Amino acid sequence: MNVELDDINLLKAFKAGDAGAERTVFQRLYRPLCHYAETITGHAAAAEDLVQECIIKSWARRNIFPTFLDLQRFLYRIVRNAAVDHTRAARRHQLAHIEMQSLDVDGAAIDDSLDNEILRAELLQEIYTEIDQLPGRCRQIFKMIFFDGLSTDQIAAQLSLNTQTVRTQKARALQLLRIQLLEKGRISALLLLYSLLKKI
Amino acid sequence: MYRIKLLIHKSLRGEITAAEQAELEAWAAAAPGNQALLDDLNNAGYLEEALARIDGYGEENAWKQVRARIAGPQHSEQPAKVDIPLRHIAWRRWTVAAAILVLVGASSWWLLWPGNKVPPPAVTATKTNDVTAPTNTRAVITLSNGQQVYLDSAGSGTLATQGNVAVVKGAHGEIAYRPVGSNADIAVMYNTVTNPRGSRVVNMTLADGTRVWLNANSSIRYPTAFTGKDRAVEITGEAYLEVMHDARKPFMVTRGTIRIEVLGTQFNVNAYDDEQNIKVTLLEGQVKVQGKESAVILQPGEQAIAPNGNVMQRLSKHGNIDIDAVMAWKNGLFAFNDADVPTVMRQLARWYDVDVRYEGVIPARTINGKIGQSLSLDQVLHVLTKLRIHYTIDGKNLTVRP
Repeated sequence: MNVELDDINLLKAFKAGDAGAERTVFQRLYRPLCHYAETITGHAAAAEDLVQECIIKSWARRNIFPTFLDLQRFLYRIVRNAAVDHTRAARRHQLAHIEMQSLDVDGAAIDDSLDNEILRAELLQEIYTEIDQLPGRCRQIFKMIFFDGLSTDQIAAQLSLNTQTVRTQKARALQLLRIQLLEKGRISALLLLYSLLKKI
Repeated sequence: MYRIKLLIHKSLRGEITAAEQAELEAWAAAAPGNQALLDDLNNAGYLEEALARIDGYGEENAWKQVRARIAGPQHSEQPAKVDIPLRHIAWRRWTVAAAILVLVGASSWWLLWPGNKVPPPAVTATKTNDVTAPTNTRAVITLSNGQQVYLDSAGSGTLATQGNVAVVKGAHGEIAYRPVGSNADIAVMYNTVTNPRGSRVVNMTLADGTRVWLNANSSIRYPTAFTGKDRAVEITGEAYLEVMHDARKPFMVTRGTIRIEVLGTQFNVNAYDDEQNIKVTLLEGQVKVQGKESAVILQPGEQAIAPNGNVMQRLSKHGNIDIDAVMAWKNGLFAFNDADVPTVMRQLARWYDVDVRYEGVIPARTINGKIGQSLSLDQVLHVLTKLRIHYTIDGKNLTVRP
């Protein structure tokens, strides 16, 4: 597993303007950045808008980044600034939505905390990708259980399936996830989800 | 960073070696944020919520839009209308998960202690339901003839005319009393505004120009016109008043056995039935707070406390009175100063109109910080899961567990 090398190659292709690489880079960055922005703005639509602006801005200067991590650091920094500005502007217009406690920290600590956010967002994205790679119906049912919090009966009703089929698909999703985990050596935070799912 | 990621992967898979585990622990101890990240990744509740959010973003759509924009003028150095100032000044540190912060108080010091052993992962939030913040005013005005006017369903304009006074609802739902017609002497009539639990703050102007902000689960009874020797109103719950100065007619607020005598002034009364103390906090001017047995005179920045409405105590401004915290509700915030869990829950119960039940012992925590009142109940409570307080929301019932 050499993710570092993968990133070097990805960045090279991305700088060369390869269309596939552009798509991959966007996919890799978009959702985690939105998640990070939303923790600041508390607002999903605003987070998505400002992340798009920031990505466009960073891509215009893609050649200045020596490593993929440098591109990420740049993006997380400008997304944070934009999100904070957005929150401040929103607060001026309406009642304070979120009052943030300010703790000024020195420069070194700041970059650490930013790297920490990058790490967090990347890990979440990787777990998400696992789920997203499940085959169609499995994925659909898995997402309905976790993201929409639906019960087996509710899912059966929504998809016009009998409950037994839903149970079978659920079991299949878990089986596939487990195989992925074992074979590809991927993240097993999903095991946690698995144990949770057993309770449903 | 790649190294740490690898270690976390291994740790989550349970394939980490002792040496690697030590390396990961050293990293976790290096900054509180690191430990918090590990905790979150081991927390099914957090993962579920974060992944659901991530799933909600329209990635495909966003890609199409971004692609269209970068495909136009080929990667020009000046992309259209992007205005994001880059700053290199000292930045604030945002805590994870929510941009809402609760500072951790003394009794929960261990949470910030990086070397501490993490409690076993637990499902912190069982999300069966959520309660959104009040979006409108459910207040009722009871007129002198007993007729009830629901503020929310009434359109703006004149709601009623009693004697020579009109009750008017403004564009933003505020209530005002305005004289109409002649000044003929008419018997004093009383109105009551009742603002129930789960209702937004009511803003009103009395006949003398005094302004009143009425919190949820509170009421005020007042004459439609102040024709007598003094101006007397009765309050339950919590209200903030900006009294119009009139030296000839003292303004008086009563609540049970407590009476507040006012000249032109701004002050806050917190007198909920379920709070142990009645608290009167003065912002401007001067008030005299009369208890059953004693009285105190307050200067700005001071607070009178009357446990059970009896002995009156005066807390000076050099004491521990945080005016911003006292007035937070008027500015759309919950503010907690060394608050214990029941204190926090009582405030949430009023605002979200929920009944709070405790399972097992009530968690002993000291909570500090401010949180926006426009957040949903689940969003507010989510912050408390950082303090290992567990909860379930089921309809209008909130269950809190240690």
